[in-house]
Amino acid sequence: MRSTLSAEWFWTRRRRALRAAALLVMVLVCAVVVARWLSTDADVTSAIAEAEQLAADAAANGVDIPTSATYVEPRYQLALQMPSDSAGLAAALMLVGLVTASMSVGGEWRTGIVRLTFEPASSRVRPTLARLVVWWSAWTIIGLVTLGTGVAGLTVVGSHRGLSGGVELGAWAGVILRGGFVVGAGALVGAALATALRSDAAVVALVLGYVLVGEIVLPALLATSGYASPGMLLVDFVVSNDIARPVVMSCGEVPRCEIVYASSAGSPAVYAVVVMTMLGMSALAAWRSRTSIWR
Amino acid sequence: MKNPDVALAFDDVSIERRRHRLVRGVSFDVQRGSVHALLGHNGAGKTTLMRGLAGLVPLRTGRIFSAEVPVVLFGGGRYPADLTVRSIIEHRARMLGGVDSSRVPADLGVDEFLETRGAALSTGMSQRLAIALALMSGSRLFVLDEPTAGLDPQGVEQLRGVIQALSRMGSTVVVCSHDLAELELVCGFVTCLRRGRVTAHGTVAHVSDDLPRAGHFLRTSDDGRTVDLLRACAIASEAGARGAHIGADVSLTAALAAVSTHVDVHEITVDTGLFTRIYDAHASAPARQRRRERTA
Repeated sequence: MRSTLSAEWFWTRRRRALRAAALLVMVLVCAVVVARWLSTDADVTSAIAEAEQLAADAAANGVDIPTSATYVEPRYQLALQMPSDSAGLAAALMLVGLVTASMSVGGEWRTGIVRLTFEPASSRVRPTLARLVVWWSAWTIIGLVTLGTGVAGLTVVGSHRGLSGGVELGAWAGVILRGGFVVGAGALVGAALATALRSDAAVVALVLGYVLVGEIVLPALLATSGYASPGMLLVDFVVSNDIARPVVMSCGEVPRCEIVYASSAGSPAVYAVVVMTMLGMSALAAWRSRTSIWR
Repeated sequence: MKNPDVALAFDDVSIERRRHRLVRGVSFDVQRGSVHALLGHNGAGKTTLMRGLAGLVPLRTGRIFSAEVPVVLFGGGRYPADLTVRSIIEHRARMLGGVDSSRVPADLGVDEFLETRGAALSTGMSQRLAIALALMSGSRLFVLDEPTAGLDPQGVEQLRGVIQALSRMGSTVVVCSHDLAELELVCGFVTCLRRGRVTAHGTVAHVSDDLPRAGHFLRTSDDGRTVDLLRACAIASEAGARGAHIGADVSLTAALAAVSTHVDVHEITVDTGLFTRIYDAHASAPARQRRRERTA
């Protein structure tokens, strides 16, 4: 297995798809950091003045609105926004990892290149699983590195243009680790689906269909019933707010200070579901790799 | 496998797909160190049989005995567009547990295009690379499926050289191809398939034993005069682009005696190659065979 893993790692890390996707996600992370830098401001004086002006205008019209309600926080609130920004990034990275892995692995099945790696049915499971392990580990590492970079960048934004208080070391580490876990799982599922369907196009079509129906249409239709899509559940899992444990933080002399909750280790049920999904998809890929290859 | 001279043996092999039997009870042996042709019409079951040998598809019945792990190279094999040949060879070396990638024989000429990427490989280069990858695994049993497809004459000549080099090294080579003229130059054994069944098998001499003889073309210094000379000797002949044609029933010795003192004979060729006649008799599509029988 060691030589197969070595060969698969040698093969995968040289593929243009992996390099291009890794570059893409790094650009994506940097873009979010830059966007947060440009959209925040440490100057609260003008924000307070604007809030007071809005409240005064409302009072003149006979509507009593407190300044705390009109106040818009201009600063980047690291403890509040970093977990949600990182979770959003993790979801995007997971999608990129899933699509990249499925296009690379599925493309090899579709074009017959996969025959370079294995031929007899009896010897297909090992390289198939090695390939899944390589994609999973590569994207977990990419996820950890890029999310780590993102968190570092957002911390810089928070310390220069906002509030850096209230963030615990555990929150930083937890968000990055859970994000990497989700990103790696996405790549493994993509590679396993491509092996099972033996096609890249089929997986991409499936993913697009799922995103459209499962993440856009159904949440819109079932919004009133409290439906949460799997994507939203994963984002919540990466954030993992413990609503029983608010963090004490100071916002300074501003009309309103948001409540920030401490980060928990994450729901055991979600860990279990993600691990079971990875194992199930790996088993499906291993079984499918042993079935006949007529092309 | 009891006989040490046999490199590969098919024993009552049947393969089916979606209840449609593609290969039906095929049994034949391939001699160790031989170059063996597998002939058959489109849909005869050649590639399916090779897929069964490679383990890509399951056998419905029967067994395949192989002295060593066979390497089956299918036509149209592709390589990743973004990887160099050096990387592809290195990957195979790692897959095999770190074998020395310099085990690729110089005869194959793969060294000439080590830095070429998969997208830029010609068909001939792909063939040579596939054989090089197979040789790295130490296998001595090769099955080439349509190896000349897409090759230019120079590529075909190079491939012939590779097959002959493999044979010299003691490897066994099975070639499935419709390039009958090329097969004739390298193969000593032949197996014919028709509709998934073996119709003839043995040495080329054995299989061609009862075949109809071929006619000949005489290319001479003056083909028109050659025809006249032959007709003057009561030998039916016609002038054509390839020279003066004489039928299969005419003695070549008699024809040569009639013309050789009057014109220079540059070339004598058969009008139908040996493997073409073997193919027509034992491996052509059933409809074509029936048509030929009706015509006869």
